[in-house]
Amino acid sequence: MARKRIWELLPDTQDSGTRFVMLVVVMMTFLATLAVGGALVVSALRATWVDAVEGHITIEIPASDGAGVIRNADTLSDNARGIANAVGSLAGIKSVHVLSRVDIKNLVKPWMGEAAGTEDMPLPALMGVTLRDPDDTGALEAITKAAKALDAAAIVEAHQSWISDLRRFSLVLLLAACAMAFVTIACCIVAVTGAVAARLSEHHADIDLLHLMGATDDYIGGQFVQSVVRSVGGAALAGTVIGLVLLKAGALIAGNIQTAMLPQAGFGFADYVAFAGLPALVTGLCFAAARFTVLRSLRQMP
Amino acid sequence: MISFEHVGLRYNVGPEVLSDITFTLEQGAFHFLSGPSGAGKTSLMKLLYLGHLPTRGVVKMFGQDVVTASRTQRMMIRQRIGVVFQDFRLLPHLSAFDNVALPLRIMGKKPHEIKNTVREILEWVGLSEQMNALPSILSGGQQQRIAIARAVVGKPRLLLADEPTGNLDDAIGYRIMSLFEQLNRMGTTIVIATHNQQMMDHFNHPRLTLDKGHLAVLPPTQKAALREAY
Repeated sequence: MARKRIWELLPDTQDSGTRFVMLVVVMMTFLATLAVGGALVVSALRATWVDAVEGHITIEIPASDGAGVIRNADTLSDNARGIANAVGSLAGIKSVHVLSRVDIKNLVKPWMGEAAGTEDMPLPALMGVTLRDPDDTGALEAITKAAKALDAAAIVEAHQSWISDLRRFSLVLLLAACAMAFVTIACCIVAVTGAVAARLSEHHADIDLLHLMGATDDYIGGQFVQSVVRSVGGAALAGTVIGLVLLKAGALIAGNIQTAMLPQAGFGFADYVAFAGLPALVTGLCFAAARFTVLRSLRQMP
Repeated sequence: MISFEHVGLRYNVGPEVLSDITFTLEQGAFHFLSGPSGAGKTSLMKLLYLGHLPTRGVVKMFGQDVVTASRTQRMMIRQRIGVVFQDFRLLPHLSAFDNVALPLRIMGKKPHEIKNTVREILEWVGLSEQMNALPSILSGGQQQRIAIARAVVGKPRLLLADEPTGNLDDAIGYRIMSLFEQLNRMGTTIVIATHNQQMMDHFNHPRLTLDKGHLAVLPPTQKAALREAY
């Protein structure tokens, strides 16, 4: 007769209560997978947004001077080239790009409509400056000084307020996704702990017998905990796989995203590693909770 | 080997069910435990198999004070004790073989050793044909024999049996008592709780008699005439 595995000494309960708990674990892990997926998308979105504006400075020469008089387009163009040369020669500047009138028309077209296409439409001159080091705090002051020296009306914008808003907003989204993952995993733990406590109660007489025969707490606890690991591990894996299938379907529906301000749909290798860690994390935490519950209960025996 | 000194036991805040119990069991002793219903026999048995700890007094087993012993030490003490419960307490989902093998598995014995020992003991109690049967399909007497086999399979140093022959006919009861005596001769200390005056009279062993929670140790009362009747 083959040696009995340790958990086979107590019946491997597969009653409706146990199946219900495993269904809860599947659903909760599914939701946790979506939450982790959401957190990863928000992280990618945040990185895309911040990368798009961080380390970039915009210099605008308004179409009108300080007295409200519309300036000649050639004057604006000359001033823009002068400022571009001056700023480009400063230390820490990677590149300076002067936007053409056509580029500027395209930028304002969504707001101005066809009126933006007319030649007599007053438009500002715009330059995009890219810093070598996005954290170079002294660059803004040097650029402002150089630009104002050539055109007192020049406006230098480092987008700090926009970046700060983006960071706060994405952080809130990230925290919400993490909170959802945390709550769903906590639900799994609570459900499994309850199931273990119920099973302990159901098999109290059997446990008492093993205890009286000299079985150690670890030995008896092993009966339950290993059974929990097998059941929860399978349920958590199923929930994660279902969640991943849904996320993959979402990525296929989103298709190839062309907009630079949005990340590509889909997940990379590191993301899949994070997803693979989810059932392991759920199983590990449920294992720890189940073990704690069992050992605490056993220690109440003499 | 086992000593009780002024031991008392109460459940929660209730009255003492055992009071001032003092006795000693040397290695190889054989005692009957008797007394009327409610006298405290089951409570004393629970103290002996460490199902409860005393609320006062000192209980020493195998040289260790059971109250101050660590949990691991108490587990080791329990592994040296075999118990035949009055209600058998077989695990219903395990076969007769696996029920009997339970103490050996807990002790960590090797599979081939378990297989040989369990088969041998099942054969001795006359249940080798039923080794794969679940307890639910066995008769009361057969279940009792499985419970006895489980209690003795680990060659315990102390064997406690609560009405071990209650469900057995005289022939099997005599055979089981003979097994207990055989184990006793090999050094196992045995305490048998029983109401069966005829059996106590037949076998020549001293008696621990409980009455209203108080214990008296009485000498053997062998009656040859009753031996014939057994």
